[in-house]
Amino acid sequence: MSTSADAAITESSDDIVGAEVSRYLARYVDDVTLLERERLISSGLLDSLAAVALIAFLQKRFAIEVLDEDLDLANFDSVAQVVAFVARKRAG
Amino acid sequence: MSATTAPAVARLLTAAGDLTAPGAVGPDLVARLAATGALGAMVPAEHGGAALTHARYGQLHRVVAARSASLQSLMTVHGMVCHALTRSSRPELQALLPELARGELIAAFALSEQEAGSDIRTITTTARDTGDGWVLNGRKKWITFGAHADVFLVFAQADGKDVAILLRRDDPGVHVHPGPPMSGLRDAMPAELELRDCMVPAGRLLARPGTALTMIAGPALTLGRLSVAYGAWGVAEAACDAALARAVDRHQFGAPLHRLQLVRGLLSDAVVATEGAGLLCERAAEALDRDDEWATGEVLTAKLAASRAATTAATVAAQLHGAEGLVAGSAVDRLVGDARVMEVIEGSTQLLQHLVAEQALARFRHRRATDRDDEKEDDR
Ligand SMILES: Cc1cc2nc3c(=O)[nH]c(=O)nc-3n(C[C@H](O)[C@H](O)[C@H](O)COP(=O)(O)OP(=O)(O)OC[C@H]3O[C@@H](n4cnc5c(N)ncnc54)[C@H](O)[C@@H]3O)c2cc1C
Repeated sequence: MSTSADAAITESSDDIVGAEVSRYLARYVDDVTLLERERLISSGLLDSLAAVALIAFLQKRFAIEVLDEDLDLANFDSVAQVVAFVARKRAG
Repeated sequence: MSATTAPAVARLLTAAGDLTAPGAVGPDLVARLAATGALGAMVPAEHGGAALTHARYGQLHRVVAARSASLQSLMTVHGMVCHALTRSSRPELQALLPELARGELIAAFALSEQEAGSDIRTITTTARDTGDGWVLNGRKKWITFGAHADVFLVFAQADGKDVAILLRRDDPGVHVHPGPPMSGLRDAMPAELELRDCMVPAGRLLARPGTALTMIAGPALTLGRLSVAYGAWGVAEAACDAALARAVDRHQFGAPLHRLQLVRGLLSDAVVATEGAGLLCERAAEALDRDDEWATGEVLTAKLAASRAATTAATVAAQLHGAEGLVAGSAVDRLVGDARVMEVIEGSTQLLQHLVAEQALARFRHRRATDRDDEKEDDR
């Protein structure tokens, strides 16, 4: 799978989504294992510009629409939560 | 209605004469500016706006700021509120957009407080959920065009969750007090907003509680920073023109000032900073227009560079004007004050430096990771 392609990924396993999200977020941390160990937003790992960017990334990369009612910390505070959120959105 | 283009707006302002005269930037000029569509420049067409690109929107800020940074600051805050309402997906709030786009309603942005400046998470204005509405209490400061505005986008805390609520000037409990006279943006009618048991209906809430600072203020500030960047570019250009005119017209030691090498050094510093800032502004606007993933970083870079260019150019212009440059309220004295403001609003220079470095680090990490992936690919 080409990870540098800009085309949206519309069908893929949770593992692939998780890898894509981690790869994306790696730009914000020196130690990528932090992404698994720390809360992403409530710990301050991602600042608010990064949080906005993450949502824009999810919308584009996975061709989903993130609505106001989706903007719950519980959807974005860990990679696993993000993966579950993307899966739920795709299930529609 | 004339076209919403930079040349049309520039013509309007030329016809308006001296914009630094007392009262020149007032309701009448605002109405004429609104007639060009400039106040709804980025509002989508379905809400009655001109739906300009960021690149064209920026040019409006540039030409307006070159004549009056105060008037440009109205476009900045009004544009930020329009942007927030457009994104809010609340029909009741979006219904205000046509009036805002026509400038029949003027909007202000009320985030800062006495104790909450750069650190916006520390705001203490409260909003209490009554079930069918909100009750607000607190005090907002430094609100650009607050003395003139009809609606205010107010940020508050509701039980530890940040909220953004639109207030109308005539809502019960809203008290607008004029702010102190400022040495920059002198004509921007700053105000303080005092909220005493201000009651508004539930539909005034823009977004889910807990998301206002990140999802409403964040993107609004990105647009605001682009606006300030272009405005600073306009101020820097006006300052370069003032410096060049003085260097040509003023004679000392039997020749125009520009014959002096040290003066040439000052002129070139001003011009290079200004032209560089302009290119960064255009690059940032184009990045936003194509929804580039690094656009936010480009905007931060442009804001930082342009506000500093404005300071460089205004300082040079003032220096070359000698004593005349120190006459309070003179054209170059105003430019110096306006440039200082641009290094403070929408994130101070030092806060911007922090954010620009953050973005540069992210880009570096991303590039390095991508290079490594490419190497692995090649090894296969
Ligand atoms: C003319 C004018 C118009 C304005 N209009 C509005 C408006 O319409 N709406 C609104 O809500 N607010 C408005 N403001 C307020 C403006 O947003 C704040 O002034 C700005 O956020 C900075 O806050 P502060 O003035 O409290 O400075 P502080 O936060 O006290 O900062 C002072 C200085 O400390 C340093 N500093 C602060 N944070 C950092 C950091 N993280 N890293 C390094 N250094 C740092 C910087 O040197 C900074 O200049 C306006 C201000 C002015 C001057």
